[in-house]
Amino acid sequence: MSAPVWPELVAAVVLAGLGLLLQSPRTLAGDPLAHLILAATAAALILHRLRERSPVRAGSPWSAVVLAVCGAVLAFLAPLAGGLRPALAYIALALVALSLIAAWRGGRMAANLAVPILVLYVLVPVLPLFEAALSYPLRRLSALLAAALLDIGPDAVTLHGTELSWGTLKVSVTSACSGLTLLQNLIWVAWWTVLLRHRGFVTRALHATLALPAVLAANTLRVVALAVMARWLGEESLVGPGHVVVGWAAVVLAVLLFLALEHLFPAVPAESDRPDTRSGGRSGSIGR
Amino acid sequence: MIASETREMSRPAFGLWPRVAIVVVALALALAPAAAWIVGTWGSSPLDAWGWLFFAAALGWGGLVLALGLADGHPEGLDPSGWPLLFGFVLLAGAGLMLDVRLAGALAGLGLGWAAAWLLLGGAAGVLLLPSLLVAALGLPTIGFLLDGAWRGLGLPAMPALVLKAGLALVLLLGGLMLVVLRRRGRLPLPGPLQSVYGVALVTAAAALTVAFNPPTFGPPLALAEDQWAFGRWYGAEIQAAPSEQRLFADSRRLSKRIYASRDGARVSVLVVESDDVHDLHTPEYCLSGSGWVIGKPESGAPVSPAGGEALPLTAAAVEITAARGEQRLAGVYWFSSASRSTPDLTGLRLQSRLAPEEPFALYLISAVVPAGASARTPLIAFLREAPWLAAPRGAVDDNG
Repeated sequence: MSAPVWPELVAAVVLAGLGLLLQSPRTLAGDPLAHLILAATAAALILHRLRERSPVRAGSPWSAVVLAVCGAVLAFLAPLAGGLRPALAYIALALVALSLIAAWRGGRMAANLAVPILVLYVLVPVLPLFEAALSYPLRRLSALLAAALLDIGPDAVTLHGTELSWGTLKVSVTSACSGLTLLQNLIWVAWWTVLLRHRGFVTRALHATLALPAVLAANTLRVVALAVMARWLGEESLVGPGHVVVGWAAVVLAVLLFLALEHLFPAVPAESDRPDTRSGGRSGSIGR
Repeated sequence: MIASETREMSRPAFGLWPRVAIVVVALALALAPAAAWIVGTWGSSPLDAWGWLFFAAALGWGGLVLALGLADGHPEGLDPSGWPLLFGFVLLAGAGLMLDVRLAGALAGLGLGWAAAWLLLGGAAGVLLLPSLLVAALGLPTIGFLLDGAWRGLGLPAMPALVLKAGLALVLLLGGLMLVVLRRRGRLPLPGPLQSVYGVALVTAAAALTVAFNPPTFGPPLALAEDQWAFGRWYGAEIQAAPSEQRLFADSRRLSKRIYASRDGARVSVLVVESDDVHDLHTPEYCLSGSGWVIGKPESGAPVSPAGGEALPLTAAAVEITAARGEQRLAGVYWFSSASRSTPDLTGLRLQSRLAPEEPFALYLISAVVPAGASARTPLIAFLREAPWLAAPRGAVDDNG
């Protein structure tokens, strides 16, 4: 017996709508469009996964209770957590939402929705905070790796914080060169990629984690390229279109690196090769 | 939702009415510690007046449910699905005692009575008596103020708290009628023990989330240097507090009201209430709503932050308010301050009183009233800029030597 679709649709709209309400309009509509794409992807996944016809499953009262209790504990702790309060409050809300899903549609459905709900309710709202914390480490790592690469050449390279001294040239790896914008955009590219190319949470999570080294490698090469460009063409070349071209090339490189890393994981059989065991006979789902 | 289950109850040896008597006694005992506060506030606060009507309506509904025999079918012993509810209300009572929140204690008292009814009379009676619990809760002090705040928070047009409470009570009783119909048709969902546990967990989580998303805020302490009667273009004079203010703050240690006037005709009122007991302090919305003012949204639309910013030139964590009464327009700002910190909300006040019980608190309300069409915020900001500020309220400084 199949469940009627409309209750799932209403629930999905409510869940996605609540998640979108949590977003800061300034963050979503502002410079980092990546945030908006991430939020929209999560909302679409919630809608997609809940609306799929599936046999009616009984709720999982115990998992619902455990999730609700965890949510309550985190929410009570949130006001005491200082700067982590928003993150804890958002996690608590996500857990309560998942507990409602577990109570209504069972623990399996809650597990299916866990990632998009956590992304929509927790990751996107706290991403600016996360990025602020990540900015300096990324700058420092990129500068360190770029210095090591440039040191292979004829002149010695010294590094002070995030400033490279290469002969008479000084290159500062500023916040704008930290690779954060690259990372913001690669997160949603990575998410879509792992959804479409892999099955199973562990494989998807492992591949998605490799977005970070891909960004780091691409950004390091970008810093090296800019330093070489400044050395050969003069420092004024850093404010010209060459800088933009190198930036775009780094984006392409990061994406290609990430896609190439897919080969570290076992191949996934094509949809047509696998028997479809779900009711309704649908296939091609990105929600499994 | 979790699948409901229907349990067949056998005829008990211990009849219905003795059980009802035990429930009534349990309810009375659980409510007894809060009774004086509840009855006293019904008589002193305009926002809480007529609270007894809601208690009467709740009793009437409960009586109706029992008289119609709708609660028949109670268990031989105790209904186990009532235990989680009892536990939940015991937790609420504990939290109320720990944080010294009288409303939580009173709500827990009502809830313990309801949970006792669930245990003794069975799940059907518990579900059917839920409207009684909620309608009685509407009669508790402070609920009208909270409802009024929530209503304004939704951006809905102002409405007297009594009308809001009455409307909500009507909706709850209509919901109760629907439950009665379901009971008559044998389709009333009866939660089992696990569903009760989940219900308690969910309500607790909802309460916790409310706190998490509206945490108490604190700022540095701030007080007015009250011995300076002339500063900048302002001259001050002590005046008699209004009878309603005297009634509301009757138990406080000091009640001071002064008017400051400027040479260009602007007038600003300063109300300072000091108390050792945080229960003596109220937010000004409470008494303003009770004396006919309709609370509105601040003109700036921006919250007052400890940094002051563009909102108001203050260092304290404060709240900006506006209100209208006939042709009068009010703009004001208030905060509670102790020797160590300021806070704009009652939650912060209670928390601070627990963290530093030896520190007395003072409420500062600074307000300007102008005719409709003029900006009350202009004299308010001018006064806040020129007033002589101290780092801590007078009482706290005196007490600490």
